[in-house]
Amino acid sequence: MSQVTLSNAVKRYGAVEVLHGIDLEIAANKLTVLLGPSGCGKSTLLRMIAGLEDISDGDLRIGDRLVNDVDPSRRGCAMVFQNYALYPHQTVFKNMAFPLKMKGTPKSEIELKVRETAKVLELEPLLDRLPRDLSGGQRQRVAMGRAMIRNPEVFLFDEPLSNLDAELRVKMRLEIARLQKELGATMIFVTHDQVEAMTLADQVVIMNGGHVQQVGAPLDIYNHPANRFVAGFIGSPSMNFLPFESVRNAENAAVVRLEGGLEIALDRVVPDTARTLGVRPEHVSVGGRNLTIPEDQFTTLGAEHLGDRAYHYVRLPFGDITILQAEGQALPQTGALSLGLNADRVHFFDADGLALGQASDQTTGTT
Amino acid sequence: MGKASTKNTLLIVVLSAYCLLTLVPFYILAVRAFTPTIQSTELHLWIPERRDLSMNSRIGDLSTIYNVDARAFRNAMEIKGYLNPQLKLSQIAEQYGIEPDRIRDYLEPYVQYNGIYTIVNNGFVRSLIATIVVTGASVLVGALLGIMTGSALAGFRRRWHMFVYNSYLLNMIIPPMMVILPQYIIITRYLGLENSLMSLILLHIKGGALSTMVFTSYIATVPRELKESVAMDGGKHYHYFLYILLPLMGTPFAVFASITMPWFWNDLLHALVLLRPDNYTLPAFVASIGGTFTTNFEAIFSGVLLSLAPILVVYLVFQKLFIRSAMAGAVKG
Repeated sequence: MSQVTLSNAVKRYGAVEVLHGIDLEIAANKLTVLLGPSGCGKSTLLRMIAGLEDISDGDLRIGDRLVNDVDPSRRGCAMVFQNYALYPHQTVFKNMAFPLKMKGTPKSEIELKVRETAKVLELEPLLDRLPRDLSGGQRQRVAMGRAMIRNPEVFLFDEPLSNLDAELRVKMRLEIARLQKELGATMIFVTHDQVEAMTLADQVVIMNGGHVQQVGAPLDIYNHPANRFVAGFIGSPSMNFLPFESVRNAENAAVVRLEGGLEIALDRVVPDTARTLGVRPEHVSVGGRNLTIPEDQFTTLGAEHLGDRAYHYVRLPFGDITILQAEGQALPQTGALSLGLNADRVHFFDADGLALGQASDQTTGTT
Repeated sequence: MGKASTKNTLLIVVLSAYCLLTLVPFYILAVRAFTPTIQSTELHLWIPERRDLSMNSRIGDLSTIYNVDARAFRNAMEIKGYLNPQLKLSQIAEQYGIEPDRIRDYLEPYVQYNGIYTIVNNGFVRSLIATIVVTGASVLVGALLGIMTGSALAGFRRRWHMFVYNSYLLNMIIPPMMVILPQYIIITRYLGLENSLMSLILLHIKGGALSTMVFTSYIATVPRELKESVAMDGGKHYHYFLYILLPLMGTPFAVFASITMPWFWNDLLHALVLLRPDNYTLPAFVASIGGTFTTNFEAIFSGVLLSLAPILVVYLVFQKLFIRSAMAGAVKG
């Protein structure tokens, strides 16, 4: 099995550059998720690896082989498309046999391999059906079977779960994770769904605007976002960002003066160049003593009740913040609102949006 | 519920009435095919009774009205030399010593089933084969060219695609009559295809405006992932074309074929201009049955009726393709 290495990979459509020099190492035998908002270039990157898009500049290596100009079928990649792209007039068997047929495999061997793969994916009873007679999840499995049958070095998934309903999505997610463990293959998985990324990935690559923002294990990225984009993109609801004017550092303590005059007292030192404080909703608690907001300075915007917990939205002079509360705990209706911030979980960003003062053990790509 | 069922009944009645109305011309044509020419000025709603062959009728009149070939008759009756057309059948029997029943047996089919008999005896089968060859080849080659053009143009990814497409469509507004003379000269003089069925096929597939239109728009609905998937699976472009694209073209092919087939099948003008009688396709053949001085309407209508039958069968077969949606199941739907 092989790793995939991109060095300074650029993609241009005419004069428009959509990927700006991607340097990326995708680990062998791991599941890597390319995550980013729509239009960030993640699908383009995947299609470049597959060979469906030319590489305008830079190098792409699969294993040790430079494959910039290698035919898609010779790169040792197999792809599962978002809409599955099953051949509609061919039975499940023929769909799965197609890659082998193209390779010129003898018939008896094709038969054997298709049956074997169908067994793994529990497709055996469906082999004689046409794709139109299958459910969404079954079509998905046929598409995976067609990818698996060639024993590719690298599996490429282009948002394969986005067409399934919520329940099936969870099931197929587990299925893919199981297959990855079983086959031990390198898998690259494109999605815009951060839950998929967090649950599936060994390694997450966050992309935005044609740049890699951060590469790392899911929890590393969650706990130590490299910049403001990653911090805001990962986690739902989004991280709270509080822009501030000035900092007064003392020994092991600091007072942060927010825009609008409110002050936050923290039991830690704040980097001098920091301009924004970020804190996730679950790290804000009501009744703490870090930040006290007078009655006339906030309005509650409402709450989202999820059963076990609720997100409360509050409007402050410098913007909105979200607070996570256990279900049943309401915000005080009268008087001042005092909030506590978990000092270890507070993030600081400088004027360019880069994270500061974090344990910098993670790989960081920068804009 | 009562209201809805009344509405439904009314709809069914109206549609059936409309259906019957459209079928009336076909019915009248069918009746005409069995109506003697002598009664062809009247409108018959049922096949009229035939008079038996009278031994008092003149052989010349039979030739004129029923297309009896006088020479073939002479040969069959072993009459040597000139046969006076003014002779009555009874006189012929007497004069040449032929059994009257032998004459009657020979001439009776001409009188009873004149239309069909004339058509079949004068080379219907040969013309039918010629027509099937021309129409079949035109539809198949035309469709193949259309699919190839369509797969290149589908989606109009380049500006010149639209230009090519429009220039094809332009071909549709040029009246075929206008160009028939230059076409004739090119085909006979420069291509050497005089009196060849090839010339008709060539004319039918030229331009291909309709096939391009039909196939381009249909191929545009085929998801491009299918092509990419073939590329990933190790297939070349021709694999995609042969194994994936062609099998999916059933529905547009049915549309294309059912529109163009009647054109090709019923193409009278080009056949008359480019072919000689020994190679005539059905419409030209049927037209040639009408003589110079008299017209055997019964034979003409029989010819039209017989030439309709094969294409009707093909039409009914294509109906199935229309209903089926070929693309179902390719992608999430």
